[in-house]
Parts: sequence; structure tokens; C-alpha cells
Amino acid sequence: MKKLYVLLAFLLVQLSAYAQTGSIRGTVTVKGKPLEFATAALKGTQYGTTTNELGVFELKNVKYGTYQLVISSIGYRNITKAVTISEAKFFQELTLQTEELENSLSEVVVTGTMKEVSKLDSPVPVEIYTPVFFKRNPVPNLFESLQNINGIRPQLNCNVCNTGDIHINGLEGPYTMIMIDGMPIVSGLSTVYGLSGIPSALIERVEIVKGPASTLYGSEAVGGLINVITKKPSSAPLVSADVMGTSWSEFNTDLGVKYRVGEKVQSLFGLNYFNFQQPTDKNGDGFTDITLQNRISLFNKFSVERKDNRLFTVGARYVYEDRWGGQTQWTPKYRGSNEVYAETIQTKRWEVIGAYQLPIKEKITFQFSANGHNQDSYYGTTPFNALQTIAFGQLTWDKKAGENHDFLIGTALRYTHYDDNTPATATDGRNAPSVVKLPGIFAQDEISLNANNKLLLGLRYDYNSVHGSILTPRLNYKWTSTDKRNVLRASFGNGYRVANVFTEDHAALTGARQVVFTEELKPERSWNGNVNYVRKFFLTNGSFIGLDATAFYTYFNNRIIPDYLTDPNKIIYSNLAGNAVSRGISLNVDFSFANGLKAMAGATAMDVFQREDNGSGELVKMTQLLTEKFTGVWSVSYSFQRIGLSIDYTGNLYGPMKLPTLGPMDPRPEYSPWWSLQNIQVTKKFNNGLEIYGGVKNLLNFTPPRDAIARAFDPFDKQVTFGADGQVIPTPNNPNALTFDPSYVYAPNQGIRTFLGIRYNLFK
Amino acid sequence: MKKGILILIFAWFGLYTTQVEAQTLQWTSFEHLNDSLRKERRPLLIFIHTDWCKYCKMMELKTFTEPELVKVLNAQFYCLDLNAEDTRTILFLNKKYKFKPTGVNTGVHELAELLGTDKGRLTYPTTVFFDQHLQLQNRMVGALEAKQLQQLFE
Repeated sequence: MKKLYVLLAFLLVQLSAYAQTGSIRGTVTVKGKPLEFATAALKGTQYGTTTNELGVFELKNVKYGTYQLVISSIGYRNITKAVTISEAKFFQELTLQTEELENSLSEVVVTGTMKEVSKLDSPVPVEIYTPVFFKRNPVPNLFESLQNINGIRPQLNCNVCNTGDIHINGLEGPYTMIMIDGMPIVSGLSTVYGLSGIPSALIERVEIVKGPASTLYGSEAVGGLINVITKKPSSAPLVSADVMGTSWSEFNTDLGVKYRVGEKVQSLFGLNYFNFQQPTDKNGDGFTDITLQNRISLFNKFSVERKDNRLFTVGARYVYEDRWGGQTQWTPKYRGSNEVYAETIQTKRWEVIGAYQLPIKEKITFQFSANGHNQDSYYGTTPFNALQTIAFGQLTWDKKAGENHDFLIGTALRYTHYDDNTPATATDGRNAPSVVKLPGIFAQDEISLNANNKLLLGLRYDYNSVHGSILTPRLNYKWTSTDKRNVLRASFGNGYRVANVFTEDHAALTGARQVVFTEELKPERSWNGNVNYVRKFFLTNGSFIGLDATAFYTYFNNRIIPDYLTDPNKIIYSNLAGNAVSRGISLNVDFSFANGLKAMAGATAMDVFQREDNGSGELVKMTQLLTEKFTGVWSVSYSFQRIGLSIDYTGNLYGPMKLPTLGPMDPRPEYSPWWSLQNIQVTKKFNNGLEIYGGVKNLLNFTPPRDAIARAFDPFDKQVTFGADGQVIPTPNNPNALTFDPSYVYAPNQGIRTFLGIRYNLFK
Repeated sequence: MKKGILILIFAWFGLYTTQVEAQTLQWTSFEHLNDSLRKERRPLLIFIHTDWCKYCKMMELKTFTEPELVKVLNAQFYCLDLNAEDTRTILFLNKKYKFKPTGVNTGVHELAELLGTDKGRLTYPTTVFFDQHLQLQNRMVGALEAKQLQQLFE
């Protein structure tokens, strides 16, 4: 009997132990259909499970009590339901209905973030630079930022007006194409403006292709391509501001705002204002060292949300700039006079760029771009007024065929209207604006041969309304090692370009020299080959080393090169009787150590020259002017994570360049010296999105010699005696037979200076 | 006898393949995630990256090849890699997510934006974790070392 009690008691205990827990079973549905993979959990407890294919979940062994049952699944509305498990209701069967939501997710923990330079997965060697990289040496615009990149040199073309262009591997500005979000700003006149006026806070990354880029971008971009990618609405700050000033009284402001226009339109607005109004003459040559500038640039990009996430984006930009440089006593009343010399340029420029994906199943995108550039300028007494309008439209069809082929087929049309006050747009003494229509078709196929090999083949045909048919093939190849640490790329292609000396060659305008065409200029044709090798090393202590080596070779069978040397009073343009070559090698090394030290160094050695017929059928090699044989760039950064402080040391080194001297008696050296610009910066980051930065630029205080402008004291050549043949005759006042000449320029005239800035980014 | 040899060969291959598996991380594709989850519920690790982000590459080639970590991840997790600029439509937990273009050849994938956005912005790389009940548990922004990840699992 006793035994029975024990057994009963035992059973009771057992029963009650069971009876203390119950279970919940439920079915979760959306519009009557079961929802799989939804989480079912009791809030504040460890009980949790997920629904199966039938939308059913079961939570077992739930202790008696009242719970909040939460059903959640990404993209669906959460359901909370009170459930009581008790002796009376130890099993609960529920049916729960939820509904689809617009995307929302709760947020969790954060650590630091870091990202910088890389290469895309494409067979075309694309270099990527993020704002973190450019911030190491803050400058007012992207144009100047590019000096931090190996193989790229923003070159000043004029000592007085400080206008410039971008040299990629020794090839000048017109060989480079500039794009925003993949939409080309097709332009001949001052492409450089494309790179000013986008606040750095709105830039996600800058992609750079050196060498022939792609069939897609036309035949002109033999030098390379610069694609500015703006931030996505998800990554752009709500508000950003960056204000910087220097001890030279330069002042720069960047503003960025992200906002919505109604339900469907997301917009990014940017403003850039640069001001320098302090005539400064530290080298005592009577001329402003740095051109006075007032520049405002407004940028707005709209992205329209469409069905199936189809693309529709339109960007617009307006740049106004007023600059002058010259004799320090100049005032606007002297504009165009021969009393006080100055170069004054007023530029108004507008751009519209956009892309629209057609509302059909196939991925067909229409890209468009239009811009107007109005330049009103005086170079001393020489006026130059130019108006350029370009319209560009392109239709591309992107088609994946199977696993291995990615086709891109397209057609493009470009219309260029150009008018200026020079003989370039005149026939028989009457004004005749130049109008060029350039229709083209192209096709490319990116072939994935296997996991290690990719091939890109492209062919483009254009018809130039003035010069006829142009055929440009391209080939890119990429090999990746199985461990993905080695990548080899090779590219080959040709280019075709019609030179416009007035819009491209600043010196043609200065009025210091007479422009002479000995014959009708023919288009330039070129062939280019590039080989690039990337190797990554990961050390056991968490450090990273990246190597990136490139060899490039471009051959031109015609190149329009200004001849400054034959006659110091003239710039002579003619077709090249011979050929021209740009060749070289470059190496980038990139270190990132686990302790927070980062270093990058790059060097390029190149040889840019032309071989010209010396009149007797013999080709003579001549080095290209204003092109260095060696350039180096480096940056070293260290961050003290705990206190939010970082230090950046950046620098450039340039080898000697051959300079345009004024004949054999010119006392100015034929070659520039080795020169270097070095900068140091300290940045303090605060947790609220605020950053303060400051430092010293041009630590070595390097400036070109004060006689860089020849006869700066006599800018109108009033005291120069010319012989009957137009040649300068040496006189006691002018023993070296010089004339006024500001085109001997290789480095900025700006010595050591300090800067201080503040940055603010508010993310929502 | 023949059978014995066959078994031996299979066993050898089996061993061999498990050895290989022990060294490299098995990425589960989004296409196969449903089937895998139906077979066994496991926590998820989703690695959000882009082709052009250097620290992503570093994590992919270094962190995700550490043998100790790989062992843990292969045994207990489903690891998914999400290229934030992938243009294909991705099915995740029975919901479709699409690429959102913001320019020509540039844009971001909805799923990356959804899973990776932290304090109003998406940075690369970002690693997100779901527990076996498929609830988002953690989001880690920036390059992670194997040690940091392992500490997380302890």
C-alpha cells in the first residue's frame, strides 16, 4: 500500500511537472497563404522558433504564464498577441494573419568603418578612390585632389590665369573623359569644370581608368576616364558641410543636402563656393602669384523611384566663375587695355545629364547629356569669346546571354556647336560656327571564359560629319588566380580624335604668341596597349600589402602638337610628319598595418615624345614639353582610434620637364628642377559627426623662380624691338631677345601656407 | 574484395572532400538557402560587400580563410555573401529583393540596403547575423578579423 502511495505520488509529481508547461501552436498566413521562415517568439524569454513551409510553428514546454507572442519576419508587419498558458489552457492553437510591409528593420551595434582604394571586378583596370583618400590632403575641388593619384597630374597651363587640365600618363586633358554616375559630360571646352562643384560629402567614389577605357565612351578617351560616382540615398548624409580657409585667404565651402520631392523622387543637392580675392605677389614679379577667383557651382541630382526599380535619374549643374590674374595694380577698368596686363575669364556653364531605362522587360537605357559653355575672356588685349553647345544621346541594350556572355549594344549621337571670335570659326572673313554631328554604333561582349579568365571585346563605328568614318576596336582581358590574390589585366585598343587648338590649348589664347596653321589639321589616330598586374598579400598579424604595376604604350600616327620653338613669337600647328609615343611603367604600393598605420606610394616613369621628319626624311626624336619623365606620390596616415585623432602626410615628387623657352638666348633653364610638394594634416573626429582638420601645405615652400614669366615688367612688349623678319633683336633693355611669355609654367606659385577646416555630416 | 576496395576508395574520397571543406568556407547561395533552412535551421551570417571595396576583399581573403573560424562557420552557420551591387533579383526568406540603379552601371541592391543600413547609412563591408530563429541579432560595420568573429560566437 505504501508502495502504491509512493507510485501515485511519483505519478502526480510527474503529471504536475508536465502540467506546469504547455505549448503554443500557430499558423501564420499572408493573404491566406502560409508564411514560411517567420519568427515566433515569446517576448523577454528564451522561447523561440520559426514557421515551416505550411506557416506552422510550435513552441513546446512553455511554462504556465502570460506571454507576449511576437511573430516577425523581414518585410512583414509584426504581430503581438497576448497568450496565457495555464492548467485550463495548456495548449493554444492560433491562427495569425500578417501583411507585407515596406522595408524596415531595427538597427543594432556599430564598430568603425574603413575603405579606400580598390579595383573593380571588371577586365578593364579601374582604380577606385573614396573620399577617405582625398581627405588626406583637402583641396577645394576634385581637380586638385587628383594630384594625389599616381600617374595623374592636374597641370596649370598658364602662369597668369591658372587654368589647367588633367594629364593622365602624360596625355593631356582632351584625351580624358569625365562622367558623373556613368553619364558622360561630353565636352571639348574646359572639361576641367566637370570636376569642380561636387561637394566631397556627396561623392561615394571616383573611378579612374588609365588607357583605353571602353567602347562605350567613344573614341576620344584614349588617355583615360574619370567617373565620379555620387552617393546613394541610403549612404548620403542628410546634411553635410565642409568649410575651409587658408592663410592665403582662400576660402572654400561645400554644402550637401539630401531631400525628397514628394513620394517618388529622391534628391541630392550640392553647392560649392570658392573665393580668393587677395592679390598676392610674394615673388615680386609684379604679377599675382595665384589667380583671383570667385566660383560658385550648384549641383542637383534627382532619382525617380519607378516600378521594378527601373532607372531614371537626372542631374543638372551650373557653374559660374570669375577669375583674373595679372599685374597686381589691375582693376576692371583696364580690361582689354594695353596699360595694365591681366587675363580675365568669366565662365558660365550649364550641364544636364541623365539616364532613363525604358519601361520594357529588356534592359534598354537612354542616356543623355547636354551642356552649354560660355567663356568671355581677355588675355591682355586679346579677347576670346567662345560659346559651345553639345547635345549627346545614347541608347544601350544590356543583355546577358547564358552564364558567360554579357552583351552591350548601343547607338549614340553627338551634336557639337562651337563658335568663337577667332579665325578658327570663320570662312572668307565671315563668321562660320563649326557644327559637327557624330553618330555611332557600338557593341561589346564581356565573356566569362571560366572562373579565372574574362575577356571583353568591343567594336565601335562613328561617322564624323567633317572627317568621315571612324572604326575603333577594343580588347580587354583579365586573369584571376584561384586564390584571388593575383590579377592580371591586358587591354588593347585605338583612339581617334579631332583636335581643337583653341579650346584645348590655352597658350594659343594668351595673345603673347601668334597662332599659325601651316595646313589643315587632320584627326589624330592612336593605338594603345596596357598591361596591369595586381598582387595582394595578407600577413598573419592582420597587415595588408597591395602591389599594382602597370606598363602602358600609346602610339600616335598623327598628333597635333604646338610648336613653340621654331619662332618664339608664334605657335605653329601642323600635322605631325612622323609619329608620337607615350610609354611608361607605374607601380603603386599600398600598406595597411594592423596598428592603424597606412601608407601608399606610387611612382611612374614615362617617356612621351614625337619623332618628326627633320626635312630630309630622317625622324628625329623630340621630348614632349611640360611632361615629366618621373613622378612620385605618397601618403602616410596614422590614426589614434581611442582619441579620434589622425595624422596624414602627403606628397608629390616631379622630375624635370622640358619647358618652352624663347629661343637660344633665353636665360631661363630649359628643364625644370626636381620639385616636390609636401603637406601635413591633423584631423580630430568628434562623435556627433563633427570633424576639425588643419595643417600645413607645401612644407618645403617650393615655388618656381621669379623670372618664370619672361619680361613680366613689359607685358605688352612695348620695349621690345623686332627685326624685319619678326624676330626679336637684342637691345640693352632686352639683352636676351625675349618677349613677354607666361607659358613657362610647371608648378604653382603658392608657397607654404596653413589651413583650417571644419566638416559636419549628419546622418539620419 | 572488390566491394571492399570500392568502399575504401569512397571513404578516401569522402575524407578528402571533408578535408577540403574544412579549409575553405562554404558559402551558401541565396538560391539554396531555403532548402538548407528546411533541412536544418541554423544561424545566418551575411557578408555585405562590393567589388571595389578593399577591406571587403581583405575580409574575404583573410578572415574567411582562417581555419579555426571556417570550421565553426561551416559547422554551425549558413554563410551568405551579398554583393551590394549585384544586379540580379535575390530571394531571401521567400521575399524578392531587386537591384536599385542610381546611375549608369551604378546602384545598390535593396537587400543590402535593408540588411546593412546602420544609423542611416550603408558602409562596406557590413556583416549581419541572424539567429536560428531567423531574427536579426547583430550587425557589424567595418572589416572584421577572425578573432573578433570568434569572440562573438563564444
